[in-house]
Amino acid sequence: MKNKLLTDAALIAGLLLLSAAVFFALPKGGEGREVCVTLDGEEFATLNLYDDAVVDIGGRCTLTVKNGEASVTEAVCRDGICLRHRPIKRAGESIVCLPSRVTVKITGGTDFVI
Amino acid sequence: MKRLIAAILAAVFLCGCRAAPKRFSSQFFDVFDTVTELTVYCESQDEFYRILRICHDELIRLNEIFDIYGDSGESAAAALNSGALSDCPAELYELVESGIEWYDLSGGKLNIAMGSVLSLWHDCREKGVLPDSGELSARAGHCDIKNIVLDGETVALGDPEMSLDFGAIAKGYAAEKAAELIEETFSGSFALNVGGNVVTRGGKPSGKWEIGIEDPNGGILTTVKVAGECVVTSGDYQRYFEYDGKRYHHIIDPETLYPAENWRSVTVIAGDSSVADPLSTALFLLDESDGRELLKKFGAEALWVAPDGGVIRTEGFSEYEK
Repeated sequence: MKNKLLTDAALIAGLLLLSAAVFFALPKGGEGREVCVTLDGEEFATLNLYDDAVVDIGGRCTLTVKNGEASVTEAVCRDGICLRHRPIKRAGESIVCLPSRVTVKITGGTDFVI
Repeated sequence: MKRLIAAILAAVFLCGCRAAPKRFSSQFFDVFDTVTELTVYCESQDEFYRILRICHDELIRLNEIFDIYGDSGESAAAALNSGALSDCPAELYELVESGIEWYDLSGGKLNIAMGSVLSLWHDCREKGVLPDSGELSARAGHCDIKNIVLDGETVALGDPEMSLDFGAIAKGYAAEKAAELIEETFSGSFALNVGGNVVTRGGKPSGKWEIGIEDPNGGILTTVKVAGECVVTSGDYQRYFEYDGKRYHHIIDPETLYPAENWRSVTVIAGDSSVADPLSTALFLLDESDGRELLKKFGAEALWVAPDGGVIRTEGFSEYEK
């Protein structure tokens, strides 16, 4: 009976440790991981920041993901502000193209960057 | 013993599955010439769409009153500027009153009657050219805020050459109004970001909202954690154009008639976004000691980024960075 109790205690302790490990192992969002793209306010694509990609966004601009950074590399909009925006990589950073109604945002722990 | 274990496991399991509110987020582009993002923690997508609708409709309504550049047709503010305002919306009256108050609070630095000068800069920014200095000086002669006539119901301009510009105060005012309207039927947590004017209500299930503050030289300078407060940044990197390799941003000093050069950016944390928005612009135009005096009046906190990249913060601001 005593052994049984010990086994049970060990089981509970093990479960608690396991859940704690899972909790702390989850990404905290300090480093952004995904690039979330919206077009006209609707989700258009979600990309892995660490998989290099070149994506056409509805014919309005081209998003390039390279070496863990995302930038707009081509655009048909009138002002080109999105083209001049420096590459983004940190959680919460975003590039907005108002005329094309496109946003590119690194998702993670930060809710907004202003 | 088995029962005990089962009970513990069941309790752990049930805690994990408690119907936590989900995060919903949406953006729109059709108000205040900027991007707006609403994030809500609520039970269902239907509930989110209901709240989004309330927020979007209210911001469209207010934009249609305050928009002086005519993107949304003939607004009340545009009618006021052209001398044809017949029926003054209460919100316009209130915003004009607030503008006059901020003129006094900022020692004349924040001046909503500077529309004629600002519209010249606005047009030049669109074309990528510099305004003619003679034209700037001529227009500066029509920026006397005392020429705004309030009679308790309607607004009129005593100088036909004068026009009002609410760029420094309208977004914060509108964001606050929209948040108040959402709160009438929703008691949960949400954050509304109208072009850098962030209004929060409550926190997130996991803690506080985390707002990154952009470093004017690139990257993120710091992150502030808020639950219920408003955060606004005025910076020289938000709206600008370049001419001959020099950057000309959108916050114009009424004394020089050129972009203010005291600071690269100023971030303000305050309880009310209709205060935080004008306060951040006023601080951008004022020196540090006058800025600190103004902050005290509202119990607000601020972070300044100087032209050399140096950072100044109020003591209370640091508390939000922990």
